[in-house]
Amino acid sequence: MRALEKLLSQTKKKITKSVVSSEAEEINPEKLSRCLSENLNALVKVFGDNCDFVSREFNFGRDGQYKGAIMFFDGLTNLKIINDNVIKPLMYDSRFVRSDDTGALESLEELRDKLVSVGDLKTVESISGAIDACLSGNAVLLVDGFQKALDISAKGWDKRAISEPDTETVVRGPREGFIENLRTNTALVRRKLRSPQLKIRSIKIGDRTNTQVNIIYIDGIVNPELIAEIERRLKNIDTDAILSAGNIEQFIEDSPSSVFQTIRYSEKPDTIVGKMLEGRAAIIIDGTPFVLSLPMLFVENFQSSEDYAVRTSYATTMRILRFIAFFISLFGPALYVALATYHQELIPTSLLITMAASSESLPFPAALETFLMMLSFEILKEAGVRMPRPIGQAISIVGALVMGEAAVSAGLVGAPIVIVIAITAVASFAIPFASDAVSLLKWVLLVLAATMGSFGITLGALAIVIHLASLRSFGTEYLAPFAPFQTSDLKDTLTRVPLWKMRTRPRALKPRDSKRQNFKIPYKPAEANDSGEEDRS
Amino acid sequence: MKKSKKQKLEADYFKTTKHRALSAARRLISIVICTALIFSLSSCWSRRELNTLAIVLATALDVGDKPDTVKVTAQIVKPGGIKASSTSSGGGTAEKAFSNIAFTDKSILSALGGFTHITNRRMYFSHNKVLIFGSELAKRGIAEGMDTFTRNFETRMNVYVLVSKDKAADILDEEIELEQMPANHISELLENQGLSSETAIVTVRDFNIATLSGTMAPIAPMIELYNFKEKKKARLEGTAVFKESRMIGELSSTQTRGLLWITNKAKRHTITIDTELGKIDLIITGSKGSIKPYRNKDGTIGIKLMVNAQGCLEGNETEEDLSTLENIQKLSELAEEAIRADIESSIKQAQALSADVFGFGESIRRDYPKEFEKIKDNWDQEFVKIKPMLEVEVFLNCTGGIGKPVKEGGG
Repeated sequence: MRALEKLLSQTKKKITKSVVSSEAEEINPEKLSRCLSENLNALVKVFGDNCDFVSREFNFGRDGQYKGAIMFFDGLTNLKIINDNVIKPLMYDSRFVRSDDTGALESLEELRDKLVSVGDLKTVESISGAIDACLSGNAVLLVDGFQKALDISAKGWDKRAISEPDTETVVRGPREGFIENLRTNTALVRRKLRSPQLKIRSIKIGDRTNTQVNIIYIDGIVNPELIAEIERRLKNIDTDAILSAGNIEQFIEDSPSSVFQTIRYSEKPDTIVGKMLEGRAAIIIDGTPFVLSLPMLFVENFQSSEDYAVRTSYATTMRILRFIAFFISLFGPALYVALATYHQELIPTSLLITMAASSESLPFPAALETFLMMLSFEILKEAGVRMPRPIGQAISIVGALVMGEAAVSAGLVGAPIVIVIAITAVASFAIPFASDAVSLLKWVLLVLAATMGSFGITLGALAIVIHLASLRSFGTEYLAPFAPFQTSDLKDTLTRVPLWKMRTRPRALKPRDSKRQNFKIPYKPAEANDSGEEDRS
Repeated sequence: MKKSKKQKLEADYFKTTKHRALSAARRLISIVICTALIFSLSSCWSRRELNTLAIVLATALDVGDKPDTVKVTAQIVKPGGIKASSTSSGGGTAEKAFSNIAFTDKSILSALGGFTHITNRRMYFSHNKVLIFGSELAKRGIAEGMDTFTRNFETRMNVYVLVSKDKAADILDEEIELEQMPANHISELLENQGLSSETAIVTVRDFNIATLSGTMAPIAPMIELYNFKEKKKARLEGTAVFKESRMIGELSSTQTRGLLWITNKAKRHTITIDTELGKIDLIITGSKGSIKPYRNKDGTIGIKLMVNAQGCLEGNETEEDLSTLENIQKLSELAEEAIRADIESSIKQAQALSADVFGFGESIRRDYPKEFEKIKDNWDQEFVKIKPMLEVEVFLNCTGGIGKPVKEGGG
């Protein structure tokens, strides 16, 4: 009985783990055969239908007595490496073995050690291993008479150059951004963090895509429980495809139904390194330039990597400005509707009279007017994103004209609402991150304001705060350090204190090593210097 | 299986937002109920579009034509007029930006209700700035008006109260030039009175505080129409004194000034002094007045009035160099004399009316409550008997931009 169960579970494993189709399974997928042609047949059966699959057989050795074959995917591999460092030494150099040498090949390792001059080499003993190697862009060298194959790293596909990311442009601060290639990305991080404590762990996710996902963190700073949790959640993903960072995000985030994102992403290595130094971990996904960093706090919606590159006073002002922009974009239209339809007594008299004058002959109630304007703005925004660039310009001109000028002069909407919508729209772009959530929530608040006035806005605001307070991101309270309140963490929230004052890492992230630096006032000309000058004079 | 302590800790640490307390269905039901309650329990549905409101900026109350009636006149904004006057730049008489509507009925509230018969828009009083009583009504009693304009939720306590010498409704018809609406003209007129300190600025709130104190006589500035180049215009002149909600008399501008010196409401004022050599103008730039009760040796309570003012030489018609110390000293004394005269005149008038417009009674109540209890009931008699001590001090701290006078060959 037990033996049967074991057998069953083993077959199950085979089905889930290997990509080998059922045809290949017939000829024992696990072990490579001693016979080259058998191995070749097995592999050709798997890849034979592919026109980009290359299988090159050749003879080598002093007398050409050995038969070998190299297999790879054209386009994924660097042909120069395969030609110069694998095929050439084998076919050409192996003929000039000294005469006293028998030239007999005792093991495949001998090839690896003596002939194939490639940095990254592995031996594989199974067909599925060879298949994996081919698919990940390596070349596989098979030699007749050996039950092993060499997995030669000769990756060399075309990739985008490192460029400045469009999503996070900065004025000061580094401009390089991540690209779609995983190794380039890890290299970008490692170049910024030359520390042996930088650890990169790899997991493969996706039954079909076999996407490489790397967890990257600083050992000694990060809370080890966090890493364990991330690994647990990543390993729980049972899907066939991971195509972008957003896919991973949706599988592992705490509150998938919330409008607020609880995992932050960035395209910039310096941002990610900064996050890691605060005690966060990052997830790099092959094939996407967006790197996830977690846990995420609510205040991170308002932080930009530029904040740390500019002067403290300016950075703090910008932070406060972003918070104001957040509130304007969230409450702007709702407040306008509430004031204009419920609480006219709160508007200064002269402003009220001006507003009354402009709304004198308007056909729609203020709420509907606001709704229509918001709707047309959202449509314009969406159209602007989707349109090819040359047409996009035309759209924006037509949109601006229709919305701003024609609608008002035709007497369809009032001038104040155009201003409110414009301010709201501009403000929503001033927030680095939460603009998605804001553009959804402002609709809810608009409905509340239209039905219940400022009472409705208060209810909505309360609901948002309660929701935010209930959110967690990988064990960290989303509203930290405001709730739970943590004085020492406030240094990088509404204000950004001078860098030399950021002595500790955020406690909310529970870092293992919370001390960042020693407290030192930056160099000031000491008083002793002044007196010294006086002495000289 | 028992969970180890460490595992338990880990589970706590990575708590997610999943709450198991309510099942999905129960949660949905509770949300629906809560939402329904929000709509049904939150009382007033007070949505009103801006273009359905008649924004009232000023209200005038007069005695009605029929006996025992009151005429309410409201000045409402005409938004169309505002648009026209702002877009049409010059040329032709622009449409008026306001419209005055009136209704006469038995009480103020029924008259307000009557407005629904003559206007299609809802009267909106939150932006009412000015409340004018006709002097005829003021003499009969303004208790009803003050109560209505205090009790209502919409009206505010910072509405300016005025008394017109003639019909209050006529004031709202004044022909204005700089402003678009008479209501704005009147309220801004009052706000500028600090420059001369000759008009008391009284809001509904101030009026009520004075009324409620029991001993204090409420006051209100008076407004009248005058003809200027065949145009009717409004101006502020004097102060009306009330007692038991009835207007019983007036204070002249000088007497009002005296009142403002004492009650610490005077800000700036120009004092003109006639000397043998010519006229000299002094400007008072700041003043602090206080009423301080004190106990006499025989146990009775006296009142001490203190005015401490700073000022400046503003105009010099004489040929004297007034920047010398002796002259400054002399000028201060003359200024003190002028202020003293204002105060004495106003006290005289108030005692003639037997109306405690200054709040002497209030200050005694605050400082000597026990003694006040004794004199409270016949305060009117007591007030007339009071002979306050006056202490006026003027400090002149500059002579304007120049020292010596501008005269021929003076350089």
